[in-house]
Amino acid sequence: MRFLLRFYVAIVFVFIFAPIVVSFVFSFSENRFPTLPLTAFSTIWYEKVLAEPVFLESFRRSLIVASVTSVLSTFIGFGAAYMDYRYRFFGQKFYVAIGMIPPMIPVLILGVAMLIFLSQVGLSGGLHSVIIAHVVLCTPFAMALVRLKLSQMPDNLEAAAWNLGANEWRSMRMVVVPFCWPAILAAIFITAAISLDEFAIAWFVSGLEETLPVRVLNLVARQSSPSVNAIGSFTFTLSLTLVVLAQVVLVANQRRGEKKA
Amino acid sequence: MTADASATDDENAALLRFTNVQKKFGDSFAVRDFNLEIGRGDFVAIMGPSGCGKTTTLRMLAGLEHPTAGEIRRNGEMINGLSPWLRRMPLVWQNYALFPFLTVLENVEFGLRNDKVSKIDRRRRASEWLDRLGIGDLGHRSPTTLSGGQAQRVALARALVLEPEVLLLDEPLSALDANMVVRMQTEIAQLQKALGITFVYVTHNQSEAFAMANRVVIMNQGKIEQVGEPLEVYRLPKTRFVAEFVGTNNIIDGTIVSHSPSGVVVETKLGQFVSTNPIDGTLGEASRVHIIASADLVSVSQDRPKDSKNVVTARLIGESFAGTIVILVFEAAGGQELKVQLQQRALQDLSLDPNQEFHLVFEPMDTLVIPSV
Repeated sequence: MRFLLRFYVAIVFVFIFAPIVVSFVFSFSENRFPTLPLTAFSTIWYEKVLAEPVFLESFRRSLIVASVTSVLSTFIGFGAAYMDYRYRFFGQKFYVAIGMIPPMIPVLILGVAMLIFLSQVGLSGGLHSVIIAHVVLCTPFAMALVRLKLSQMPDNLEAAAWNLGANEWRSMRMVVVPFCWPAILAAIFITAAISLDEFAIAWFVSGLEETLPVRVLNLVARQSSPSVNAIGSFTFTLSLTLVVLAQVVLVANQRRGEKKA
Repeated sequence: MTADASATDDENAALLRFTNVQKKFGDSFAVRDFNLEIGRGDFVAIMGPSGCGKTTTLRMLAGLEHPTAGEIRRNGEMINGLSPWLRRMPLVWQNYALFPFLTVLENVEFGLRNDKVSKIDRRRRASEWLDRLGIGDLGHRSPTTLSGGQAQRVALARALVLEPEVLLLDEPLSALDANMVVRMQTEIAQLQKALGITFVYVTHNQSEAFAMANRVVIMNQGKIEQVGEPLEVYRLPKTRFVAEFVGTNNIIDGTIVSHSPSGVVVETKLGQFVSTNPIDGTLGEASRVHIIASADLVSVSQDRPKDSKNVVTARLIGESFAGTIVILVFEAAGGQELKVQLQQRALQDLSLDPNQEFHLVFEPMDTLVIPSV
């Protein structure tokens, strides 16, 4: 039984990671076609990508979108979570539910809806469109992370700051934000990773300002190039790094919390 | 404005004064008809069962709740709606509420930072307080690594470093183990004497309140039942609630028969009682009253005394030991339960058999008569 379970888990991981590993391996293969046995080791495809201004340009766009999106959505998500924590108001549960909805909508529908809405208000077809759409998609993740942290904040911690002479803004800056800081950092990393990888919405709203995932799909639609493997391996590493960073921040903080208990 | 001015001019203006303060949450009263004066240097303990409104009262002082009616004044100045950060009445919290992301020293400096005290100055003052409370070596530690007693001292230092006029304490010892509670009680009481500032201390624990405070406020269902010095509240409870809540009292229902030169005579189902200590001398004949007798002031005898007044014959049904003190539980006629508290040594002179009958003697001096409501 135990063996079967382990085998099952191993198989699941193999199916999930095999394509990525294959892509990783072939990105370093000299051969133009992904064939076995492997021919010589080479970084030629990475060099090709770096020599291609279109890729670099789309990568630069992706970085801009990811960094702006992560900061904006974490900021908004923090505000939304704090409002839910601090105040009791009519329709509060509805408010939280609405806030959590965007990731549950199929991205195609969200993409089309965003395209229609943004062109209605004259904001479509640019990098800012991708940023707006990604903020909508990412904010719930930031909100969820900060809400979780706020729910662990000891009773009266904020009131203790008021009691010691800090007004509400000062207490926010000196107590609430420092307490939530690990969750805020994690939210920034996670939302950046989500935005960096996101294809469907960006494809709809980016217009001529293609982000990296959009560029990649346009490339493989026409031809299959090992450059894709190189790009894929690179972005995978980048996203994974962000997610791992988020985990490290959260887990390290949790450890500290457990020591206290 | 004129009212404010005249109140401020009043030299006898209490440091804190509650006038008809009321606090409603929805339809229910948390606090009502609350009138209290707290003087400079007082150590006031507000005591009562959970839900009696004592914590709400403290939170109103701290500005975390605002009264729905009535006035709270400090030095004659109305502070009903004043924001908590403008009050300078630091609170020592039940759960300490230390900032976990700051060190102990930084926690103590927190209030001084809000006052824009220079870094050198606040570090010095915070360190002084940590030293004074015997935790000078913990300055660099994280509050999450402290024991309960240490955390409580940090919370005290964090509040006292502001040199406040009033310190508020919300059940500060309830999370500590018994030995630590006794130590901290002594320390807090000594600290209050040395500083001479006003302490308002909320607790549900009467031994804490009686050990430290010079005035005790007993609350029940949002109202004040009795205010007085600890011994006075302990020996002369004015209401049935206080008699039940404070100490160990025997309560017997009865009716006043007559006022005689030798005292008030009360008829009860356990016989007649004479009291030379009626709390309210205006009680007329036929008034419904309670006889209150503290368990430690009732004596037990195996032989029937000559006088039949103030003597109850009762069967021993149980006993409970609490260190050097023993509480004997008796059952008298009609199922009335009576308690007698004795020293362990006094017990050795009595041969105790369960179900044996004894005669309990209530001294007229120690028999209180209070009105039944």
